[in-house]
Amino acid sequence: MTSALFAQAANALIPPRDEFGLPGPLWLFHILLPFTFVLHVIFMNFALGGALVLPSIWAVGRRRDRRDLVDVAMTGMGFLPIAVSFTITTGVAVLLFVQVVYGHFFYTANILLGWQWLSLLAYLCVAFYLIYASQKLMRAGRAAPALVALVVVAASLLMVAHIFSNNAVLSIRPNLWRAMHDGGSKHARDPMWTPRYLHSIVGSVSVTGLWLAVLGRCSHTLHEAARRAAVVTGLWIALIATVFQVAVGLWFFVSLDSSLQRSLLTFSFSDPRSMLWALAAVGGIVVIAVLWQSVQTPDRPRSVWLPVGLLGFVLVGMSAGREAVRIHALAQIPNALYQPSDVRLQSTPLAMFLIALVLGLGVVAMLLRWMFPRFEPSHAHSKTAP
Amino acid sequence: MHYPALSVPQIGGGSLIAIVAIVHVFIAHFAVGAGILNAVAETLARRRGDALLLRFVRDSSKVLILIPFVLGAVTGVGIWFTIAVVAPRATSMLIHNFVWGWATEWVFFFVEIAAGYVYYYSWDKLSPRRHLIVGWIYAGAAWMSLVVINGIITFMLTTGRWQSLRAEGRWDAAFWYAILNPTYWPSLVLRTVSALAIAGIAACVLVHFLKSYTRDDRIGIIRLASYFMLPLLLMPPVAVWYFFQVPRFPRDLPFGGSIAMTMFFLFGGVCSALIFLYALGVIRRHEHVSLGSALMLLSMAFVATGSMEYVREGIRKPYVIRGYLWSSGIADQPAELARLNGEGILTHSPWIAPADRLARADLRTRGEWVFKAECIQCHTVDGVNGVTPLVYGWNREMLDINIRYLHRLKGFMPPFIGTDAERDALAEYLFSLSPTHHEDPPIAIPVAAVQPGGRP
Ligand code: HEC
Repeated sequence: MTSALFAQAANALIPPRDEFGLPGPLWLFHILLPFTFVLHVIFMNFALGGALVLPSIWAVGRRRDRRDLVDVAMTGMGFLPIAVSFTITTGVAVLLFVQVVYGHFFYTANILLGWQWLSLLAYLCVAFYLIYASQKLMRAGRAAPALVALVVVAASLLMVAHIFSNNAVLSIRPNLWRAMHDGGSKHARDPMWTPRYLHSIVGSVSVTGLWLAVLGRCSHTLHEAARRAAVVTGLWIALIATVFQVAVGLWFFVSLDSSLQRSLLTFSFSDPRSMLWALAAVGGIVVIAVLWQSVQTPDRPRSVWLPVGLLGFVLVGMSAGREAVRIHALAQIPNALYQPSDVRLQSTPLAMFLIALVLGLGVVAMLLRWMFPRFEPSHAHSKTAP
Repeated sequence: MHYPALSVPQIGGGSLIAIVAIVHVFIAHFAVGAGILNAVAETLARRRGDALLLRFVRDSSKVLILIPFVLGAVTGVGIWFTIAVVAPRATSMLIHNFVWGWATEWVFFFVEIAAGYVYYYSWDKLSPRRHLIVGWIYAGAAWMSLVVINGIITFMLTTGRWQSLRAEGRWDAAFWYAILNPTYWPSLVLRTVSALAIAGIAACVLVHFLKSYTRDDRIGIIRLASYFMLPLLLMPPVAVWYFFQVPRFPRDLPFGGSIAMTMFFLFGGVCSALIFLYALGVIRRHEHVSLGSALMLLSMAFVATGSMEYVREGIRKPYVIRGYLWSSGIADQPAELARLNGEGILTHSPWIAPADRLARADLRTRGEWVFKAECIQCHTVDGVNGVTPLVYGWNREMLDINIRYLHRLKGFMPPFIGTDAERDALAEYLFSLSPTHHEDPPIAIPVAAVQPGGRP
């Protein structure tokens, strides 16, 4: 934050921390929040990126009479509703943990956005049901209305992302609050806003590229030509989008004020977040190199799995960096953040959650194995040999 | 107090929450009941080799995904969003007490969604045995999420030993006593029963939308579905059990204490009874249920669910968390009351009464701010429960006395909190709402009178 004066002035408006304190150790929430956020982002990226990319592939495929591309796009779109519903499901976990640690900022941002914040839910419903509608239209051969529906889907999801960017910026910028409240503007004016929004969109396109490549490798419903088309197109999309993403990321970094930049560049073992972030930033460049290799040799399993693994790590690191920025921005305001002394540990309820989580993940893993027997590790390993 | 106020024109924040919540509760109960109905029906179909029933389960499983998974999930998130913007302090309090409960519920929710998709997409993929297991996993996970959330919802009305255990610093025990509070078990039974009934009715509606079913086909399915409405018979005794656990004051409200509460309570009771009788008739006489009747039953179920939720929310007033936090967002705790009554509510409401304008504001403006700080959670100015018609024709003395004894005159209102000067300002503001007083010039009063305690 550029001046302490702003932080001071905004101070009176910041609601107090909750009187009931934290029901678990602070570090645990600091892990759970970015961890669930990564899960959320993986699905969200496919939902948002897919809504942008898949209709384009479909349209190109139809125009050039490329059956394989049309099939890839159709199969990919079949997954879109699932991606939307898992985006919501995983988002609920993020919503829970963000309220625990940053609720007093989060709620204030929600209220300042007001109806815009609540309208997000309507956009989500519109997107979900129109995806189904567009698929029905496509199967009926009605291309034009299907495309219109898909454009509305993409626009709705972009709007959702827009609202979330507003909320995210407002949640860490109390100095914007007063003006928002009095001025009636519903847009969080901050230099970081535009690059932040672009970062989430371009990022979702590159993740979607990799989802397509994975689809090409794993699908057993697509025919051979379409599977190859999925891998090749997916890898190219990921490559191009990642190049842009690194550029937008730089812009995002430059848009932060110097104290936040410094917070990301401090390498200290006491806060592994910035270190993870820095590794991820380097990782992003490595991903470009690896993808460049991959597009030359798209048939090797490694060409898909290596960038997927790397990008997974990049997402973790970026999510850690996001928390680093948040914490450093808010730490400049006296008394704003929860301290370890706020902890009122509820050990048995916490144990209940952890046990449920382990069991739940076990059940989901079992379900996935039943559903996708090809994913069984022994199988995957034997194929990885170059 | 500590947060900016969202203005919800005409209907007020409370109604906004109620609308979202009732839709969500109905869909969520449907999801729980439908999970069980599906699993039971598939089990029966496989055991008896009943191809028709199996086809019905299969054909209808898409509805399971299309409705609960997004509309249900979105309205669920919608409740979070609306309570957070309308009652942020209460939301924060609940999350800081029950996050592990919610997180556990989330795990079940996640399993439910995963199992639901696998169930729907794996009819031709999995062996019958495995497919059935997936169906039961879905049903179990959906019901378990009710098991958890029921604890938090009931806690808000009957907090049990939570307060005293917290005061002793026994955080673990406080959590469990709060979740397994006095109304937990009866409420769990009531909700499960209504979930089953809603699913049964939904099946009666659905069977009409699936193609190529003959009338006889439908009768068989409707008969099975009607059995899911029979547990409604448990409702009256369990409701008695429930109300025995509720403290005396709110308990009286649906039994004549408040006209609105009593009416909604009656609605709910009568609708449930009619649904039960109808189902009994269908089963005994092997009857068909037309689409019209099925839709009628569904609307009655919606009215019953909505009314019961309305009563549950209503009898909690004037609290959000009974005995602890008032609907106005002020805690019913001696230290907080002493402070607010001494220093004033406006000095602690920086969003509503900006510090730099507080000193210069006239009496009426201050009164409006006080109204925004502690009345707007339940009242609008002239929409739903609007104060303008409520105070129509009252003079200043009447207003003064009324505000002084708000909680005694109407048991579902919290007492007025704030300094004498703030009370006077509020009376002035309410007085100005009366049409005849619109043009009265605002009266300036000395700053010191409004801020006896100064700013913290
Ligand atoms: C917990 C919710 C709640 C809060 C908070 C609340 N009220 Fe009420 N109030 C009600 C309800 C419900 C009624 C009944 C309306 C009716 O009878 O139609 C009511 C009635 C009234 C009446 C009419 C009383 C009568 O005798 O007819 C007045 C005046 C009033 N409220 C003023 C206020 C003021 C001033 C505040 C803020 C200090 C306030 N209320 C806060 C719920 C609330």
